[in-house]
Amino acid sequence: MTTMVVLELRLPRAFSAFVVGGSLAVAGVMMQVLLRNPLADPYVLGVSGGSAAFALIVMLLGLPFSAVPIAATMGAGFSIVLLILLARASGDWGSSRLLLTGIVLASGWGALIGFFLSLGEANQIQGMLFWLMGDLRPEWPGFIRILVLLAVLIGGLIVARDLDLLLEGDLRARSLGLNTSALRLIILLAASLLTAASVTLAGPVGFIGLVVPHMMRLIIGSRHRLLIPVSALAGGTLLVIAEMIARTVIAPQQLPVGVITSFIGVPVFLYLLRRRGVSIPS
Amino acid sequence: MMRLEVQRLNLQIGEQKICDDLTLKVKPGEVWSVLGRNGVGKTTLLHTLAGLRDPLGGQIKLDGVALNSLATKTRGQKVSILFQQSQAPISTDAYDFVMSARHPWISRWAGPTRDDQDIVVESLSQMGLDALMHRDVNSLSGGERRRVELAATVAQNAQTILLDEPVNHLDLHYQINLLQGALTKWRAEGRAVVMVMHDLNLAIRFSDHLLCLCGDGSILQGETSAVATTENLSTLLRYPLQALTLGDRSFFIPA
Repeated sequence: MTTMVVLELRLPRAFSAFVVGGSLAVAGVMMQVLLRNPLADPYVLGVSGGSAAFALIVMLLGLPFSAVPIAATMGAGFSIVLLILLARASGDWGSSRLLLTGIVLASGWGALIGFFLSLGEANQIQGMLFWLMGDLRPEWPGFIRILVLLAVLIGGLIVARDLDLLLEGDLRARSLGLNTSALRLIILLAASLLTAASVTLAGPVGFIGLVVPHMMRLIIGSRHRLLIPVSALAGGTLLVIAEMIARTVIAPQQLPVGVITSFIGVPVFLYLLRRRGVSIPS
Repeated sequence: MMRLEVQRLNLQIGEQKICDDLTLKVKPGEVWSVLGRNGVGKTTLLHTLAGLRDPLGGQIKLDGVALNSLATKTRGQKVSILFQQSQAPISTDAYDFVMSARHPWISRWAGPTRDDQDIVVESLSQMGLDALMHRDVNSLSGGERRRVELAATVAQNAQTILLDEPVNHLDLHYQINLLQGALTKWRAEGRAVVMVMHDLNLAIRFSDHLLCLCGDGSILQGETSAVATTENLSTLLRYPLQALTLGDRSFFIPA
């Protein structure tokens, strides 16, 4: 009995937590390079929201389930592109403008998701709501998700020095021989895939992409060669711990794991916003 | 062979003509200064020569090869640019900042070699930054930061060097020493230097050729001694100047 609980419920869920946490942390690192802003996070800037909204549309339309991950990836990518277009109007990346735009987008997606929920059948809603709060089901993470994370980790190591350079500004990077538009596109794709991979498994789990890279930068610095793999490990570990807390803190009741990460993430985000402003610490 | 050759270059920002049909030939070992009033497009011209902006028409060649036919990394080996202002600062130490200028030379797979490390240390040392090597560039003063950027230009080791107001923010002795030291060395090494200079007298003192952007698309260029006349410079800057002669050097001051 105990063996069955561990093998069929705990282990798959813990492993999923690890993959989701790792994916979100690396997605955060990618978005921070893309937007040159250390406060960028898939959840805060509405990328997870866009991904979830697109996934919900597919579910509500009753399209084949295999369309959900594709829609989720498109939703994430669409949300990042929208963010870039709307926030860049002022020229360079004004930090407060970017955050405002992202937060407004996030609440827009939230409203859209609320609208979709009200269209759903009564028996679907409980499950959808729980999923949207960010929760893990006792499921294995699936081959594709692991593959996405591994591919981004390996790709990230190959372009690690390019990512360092891109952080120093577009003009300088270009003058030193970096094809910045191609690199941006790759980062966009990586961040979208990672966000979609985690959203389709656990719903929008917040702040991992913000908290983890920040902590890791304080410890090991900003060089992506180290930052990417270390963030993946730390993000995975953090979400496994959060999952454990969510399961035990008011047992036998379970909390959605997204509630735990937000309890950690919100104060850290506010603290960073107040203290660090916009610069990326070395 | 020309280090940098520009044929019939046509540049515009919005409605404003920067140059129309500019032809320019910079030989190895020459130092050119670009002069002109604010907003005539000196920086835009420099960015175009660096391949960061496409001209409306005309061609730019580096060592006889068309700039737009070069792979981006090769371009980074052939031409370097020192920007007027660095973009929004990120924290990185001086050593890493200068090392990033080695990017065009560093293999993706092998990473920086011993040579790259030596070049970085040497470049920092040449700019008198030995003690500041591991300081965060954001904690440096404006002048120190400028010297770090100049060290990065040295480390990039390109044959064509573009400098946008290189001695901005620098103390007087550094202005003279750096221009003197770096330009003498680069001349001897056969590099071509094109720099935008704000200070007329420094430009005249340190460059052998002048390129004046008049603001209406027309250009005045040639050897410094021929171009730097009271009449030309007064027209260029739209303010009457007068020449003061001290020894064998002329200085231009507002009349």
